[in-house]
Amino acid sequence: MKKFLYIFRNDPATPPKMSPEEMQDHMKAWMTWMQELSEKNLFIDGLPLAPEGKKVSGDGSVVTDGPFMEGKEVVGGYMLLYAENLAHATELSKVCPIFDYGGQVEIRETMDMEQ
Amino acid sequence: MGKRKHLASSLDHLFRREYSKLVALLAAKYAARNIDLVEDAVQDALLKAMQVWSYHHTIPDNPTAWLYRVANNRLIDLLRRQKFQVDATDEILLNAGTDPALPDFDQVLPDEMLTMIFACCHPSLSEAEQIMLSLKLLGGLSVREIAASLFKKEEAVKKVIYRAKQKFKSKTIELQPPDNADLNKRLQVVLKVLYLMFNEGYKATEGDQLIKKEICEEAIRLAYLLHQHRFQETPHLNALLALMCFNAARFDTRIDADGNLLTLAQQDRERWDQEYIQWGLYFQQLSARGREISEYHLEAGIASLYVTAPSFPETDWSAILMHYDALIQHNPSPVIALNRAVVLGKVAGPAKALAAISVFESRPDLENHHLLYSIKADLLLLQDEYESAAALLKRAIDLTGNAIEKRFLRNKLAGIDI
Repeated sequence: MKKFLYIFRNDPATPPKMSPEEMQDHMKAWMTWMQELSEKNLFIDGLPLAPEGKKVSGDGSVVTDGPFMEGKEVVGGYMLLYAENLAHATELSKVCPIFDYGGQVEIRETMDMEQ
Repeated sequence: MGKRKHLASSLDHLFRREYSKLVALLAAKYAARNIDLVEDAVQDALLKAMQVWSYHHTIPDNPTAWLYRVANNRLIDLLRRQKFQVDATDEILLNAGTDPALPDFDQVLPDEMLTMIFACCHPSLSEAEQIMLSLKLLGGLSVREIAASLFKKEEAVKKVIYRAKQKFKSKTIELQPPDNADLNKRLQVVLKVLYLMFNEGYKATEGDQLIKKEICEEAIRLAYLLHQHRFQETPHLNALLALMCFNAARFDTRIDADGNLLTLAQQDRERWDQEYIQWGLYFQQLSARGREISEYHLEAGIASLYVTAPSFPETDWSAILMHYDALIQHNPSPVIALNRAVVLGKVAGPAKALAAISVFESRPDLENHHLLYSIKADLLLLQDEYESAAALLKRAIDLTGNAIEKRFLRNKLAGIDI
């Protein structure tokens, strides 16, 4: 098994428009999805990211406020998981609830020493 | 107690429930004029919960406490950002507020919820404002959900809620429980709003049926909250609860899978919710303690006779007619008179019913009411007067604006063999 990273991107303008009931349904869908990955021993780690942040650039003296990308591309969370290969990791992501609200998943294989 | 759980079941709609709890708690703490910011803060707290709880695939043991902390701190943040709104009292609250000592929710919540119910049903608000504000603040429904279920435009709902909130923020509506002197009068208004809210959900109109049912459940839940925490022995409230439970028992059987309206005779009695019927009987019994008979008592009486009849033909029509006779004394509305005539038809035959209708049918407020024509058509059909019945049905179809009813009447018209 190899380790992969899911980078979840969504439009931060979408969630505030959701009703409490929709939020609950969405949460249930995420929980179920992650629980399933967990039960298959594929889930390693994952966290949502707070909307605020900083970006440091230049020689370290240029500090700007995040978020760092436009509109729909803001990173809202990440997940580290095991998968056979990139195809498998891609397949597993297809039922991610993020797509219900127009989000995207970026899938990247991590690089280990052993490789 | 199994049946208690049924009514009070909160886990089904945890987020909605938490929304209304937190709005009530925070509005009480930070004044009603900040209601918009309170709602934003609660919304943000739920949003954070949605993200954090799902990644940890778990819900905290005390979700209310978790959400209260987040919403409270978020609200302080929002209030500070809008400094121009902050006055001296706010400043004290703000300084004391961060990382608050948690209130004893079991003790404080019912009071704050009751206060909020009375505020949303304040007499200075119009009926539409009372209902929509209640759905929003007490029910945790979004503008979109309210619009979808009541079959109204989102913009229209938004406007009503905006107007209601302007009054809500003004001095007229203070977030305080009504004085004892005023209490009964104010309670009657609350009951009326809950009754109308239930009817909005129950009406067989287009709109999201799932949310419509939830609106009925919400009205029952709020009435039950009043019953549990302060008004156990109030006959009007118990009668209203009985009425709502009896009707809620039939909710799922009134419309078939294709969206066709089913009459009482066509409904599948096996599918009537026995738990709701039991609750209805329980509250009906409670409502009989005391001397007063309200319209809620009479309507509950009628509804109970319908749901407890072993079959449609075995319905106790004479008893129902007696209830209608009393109801008309309370409220001489033409719609009640029409419904009474239907029952009279069952007891004394269609000719008597048509004669009864002829006494009041020329009232100007009935002239354009589809119910007059569809009910007369039904009675004429019983007398085999197909042509006149068909003409009346056509008139009724033209007059109703409700698509589900239109279809129901069209099907009936198509079934007439002239």
